[in-house]
Amino acid sequence: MRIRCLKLHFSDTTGQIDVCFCKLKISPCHTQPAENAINYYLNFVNLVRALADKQTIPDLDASTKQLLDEIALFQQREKAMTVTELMGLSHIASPATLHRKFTQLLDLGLVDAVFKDRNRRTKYVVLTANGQAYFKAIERAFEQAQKSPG
Amino acid sequence: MRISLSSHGPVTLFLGVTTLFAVVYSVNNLLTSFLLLVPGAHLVHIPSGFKLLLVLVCGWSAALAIGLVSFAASAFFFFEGNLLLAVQLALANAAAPLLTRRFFVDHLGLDRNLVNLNGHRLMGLGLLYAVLNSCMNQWLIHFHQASPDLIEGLAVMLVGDITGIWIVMVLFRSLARRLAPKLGPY
Repeated sequence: MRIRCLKLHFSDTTGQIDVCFCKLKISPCHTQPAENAINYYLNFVNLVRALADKQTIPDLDASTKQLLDEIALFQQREKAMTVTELMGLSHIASPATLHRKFTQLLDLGLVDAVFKDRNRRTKYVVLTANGQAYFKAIERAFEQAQKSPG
Repeated sequence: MRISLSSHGPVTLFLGVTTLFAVVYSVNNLLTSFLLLVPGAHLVHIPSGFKLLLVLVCGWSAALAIGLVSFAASAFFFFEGNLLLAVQLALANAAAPLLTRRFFVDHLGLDRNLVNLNGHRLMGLGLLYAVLNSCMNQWLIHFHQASPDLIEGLAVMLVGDITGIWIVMVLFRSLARRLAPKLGPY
């Protein structure tokens, strides 16, 4: 049997790489999934912040956290929240406070307000890569807490 | 929000990291050849700091790059002709930063994207990496009878790795303080 292609798969916590060695040519495998280069970028950003002694996990107050949770829950249901819907979350705070908290989340780079498709009249609130990293960190903390005895 | 990236990303990244590390490694060895006190161990080894930072950011791609450069340096310069030792040193050099990172992620709560990385954790990573790297390298070199004194080799390499990591951290720290504000408050 003649081996024509050799596929190598490397993976660790930072992502995965599939490399094919075919007919003395090295190339990415055609079946390769979407790359995790965003992870490399996040790693770089967080490393820069650690080196600069900057706080990496933002310290949010309770209502800002609640607002961020609502945005994430909307996104998890694959339904982006509009800015109008956000301003209507009266169980969290008044519209004025919600606006202030939303601006804080925007400034922290955890969420972004974007237009979708050609509709320039409605702005949607989405989690940014940093926002997703924030929830990943919380998920990781839960995993650690579950693993630790007592 | 969906982010799609080119499938050539990892290969380009690997080539970039290999080139960067090869340049750093060559320049360091050219400038500090007088500090090569025992086989395989400089008293100041700046590439050690780069190894750790590159693996922290790029994971496997950086480890492969480090292994490749380490193999070339061992097989063609430091231990010419001893291919088995060169392969083993390449594996050790690639594995040491990866294992360090893995240990911190699995047992010390370091986030996979380094979200909770701070100065203390970086110091811990640096120390563990220096110990692991020195032990693996010097044990292999001693095992192949390329170095007569294991303890002396260990001591020199440990000091070299720690000073190298410290220099790189200090250099990058001043760079990071300029770069961090441009990356936003979070």
